[in-house]
Amino acid sequence: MTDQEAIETWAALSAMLTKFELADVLRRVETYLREGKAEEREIEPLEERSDHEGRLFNVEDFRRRPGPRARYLAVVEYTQQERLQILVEATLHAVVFPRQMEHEIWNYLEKSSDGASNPIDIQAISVVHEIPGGEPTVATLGRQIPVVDLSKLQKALQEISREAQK
Amino acid sequence: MIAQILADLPGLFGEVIVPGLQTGAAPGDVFEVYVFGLILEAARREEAVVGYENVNGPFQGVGTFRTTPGRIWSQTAPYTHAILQFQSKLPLEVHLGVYLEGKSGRLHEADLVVLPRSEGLSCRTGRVHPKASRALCTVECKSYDTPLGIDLGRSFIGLSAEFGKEKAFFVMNQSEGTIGRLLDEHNRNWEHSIVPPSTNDVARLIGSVQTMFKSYKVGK
Repeated sequence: MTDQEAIETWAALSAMLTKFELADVLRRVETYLREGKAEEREIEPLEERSDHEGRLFNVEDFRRRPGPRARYLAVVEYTQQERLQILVEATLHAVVFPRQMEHEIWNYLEKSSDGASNPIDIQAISVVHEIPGGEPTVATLGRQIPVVDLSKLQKALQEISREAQK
Repeated sequence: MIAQILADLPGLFGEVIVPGLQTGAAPGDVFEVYVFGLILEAARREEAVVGYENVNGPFQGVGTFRTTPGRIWSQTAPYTHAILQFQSKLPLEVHLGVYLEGKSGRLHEADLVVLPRSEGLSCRTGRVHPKASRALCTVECKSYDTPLGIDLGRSFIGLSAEFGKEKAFFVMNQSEGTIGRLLDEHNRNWEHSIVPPSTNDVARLIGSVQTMFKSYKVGK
């Protein structure tokens, strides 16, 4: 994938996230990208020359330290392709995987212990956020998750990620 | 290829998301309940009988889980915990979002904890926080859109020292990254890529928890 294609695909995907009220995902990705990528670099370390004695003025004088090159960490910008991959991954983690988890939660919680055909009867699953001094917020986990549709979206996003790696 | 995928994306998004109707749980909350489910699965594979109970009485068919830290005795909502019964062993409880007393005598939040039932009952009755030293395991759950910052790893190293590093788990949805290297370097229990499509990683987490239950089954 060329830089231009990566930029265009980023634009299309970010427009989609904004349209579907997931602009906060985009913002978190942009914040993450701004921090840059740590990358190891080998440099030639320098050391001060010790033969300053007898000089009239103190002049900075460095030379390459003997021995192998040393490894240091640098921060570099992500490439356009890497930026796109990170956005795709974030979309999977924000949209696809949580809904797949919801689906599996029902299976894990209702499953009978002895493998018999008597699953535990659960009518609803709620998650509660307690807020100090306030009313707790309650959300319900969905049972009817469109697993097939999720799988299609997952495959499409993963295909973009694969193309970005080419 | 990409052009076709981009053309299909609006339809694919539209099939799973309806703008304005996103009233569901936050991904981080879903993740915690998902890991709770994986712990129950590990217990079942070690032949435990799994049941539920609410803080205020018998389970009534509605699972209510707290995803912010709270008091184990709190009845702000009819919070649910799981009860694990291994043959010939004292029962255990699995809780989401409770405070535990660490080694230093300070309180820390545990996203997930497996406790002896006697500890859970004692603390609910006495309205006190469970001691981490009595827990079989604790789990710190981290679900993020983007790779996790190293600060989360550093925090966990401190937290696991309070809870007992041999029984504290760090479980994240993201791949290992630098945080994995940090936790490995510090010899902590950690699992990565815990999302449904990563069946191998999920199986490894279940296996780690199974090993803990296996030890409990043969212990005194």
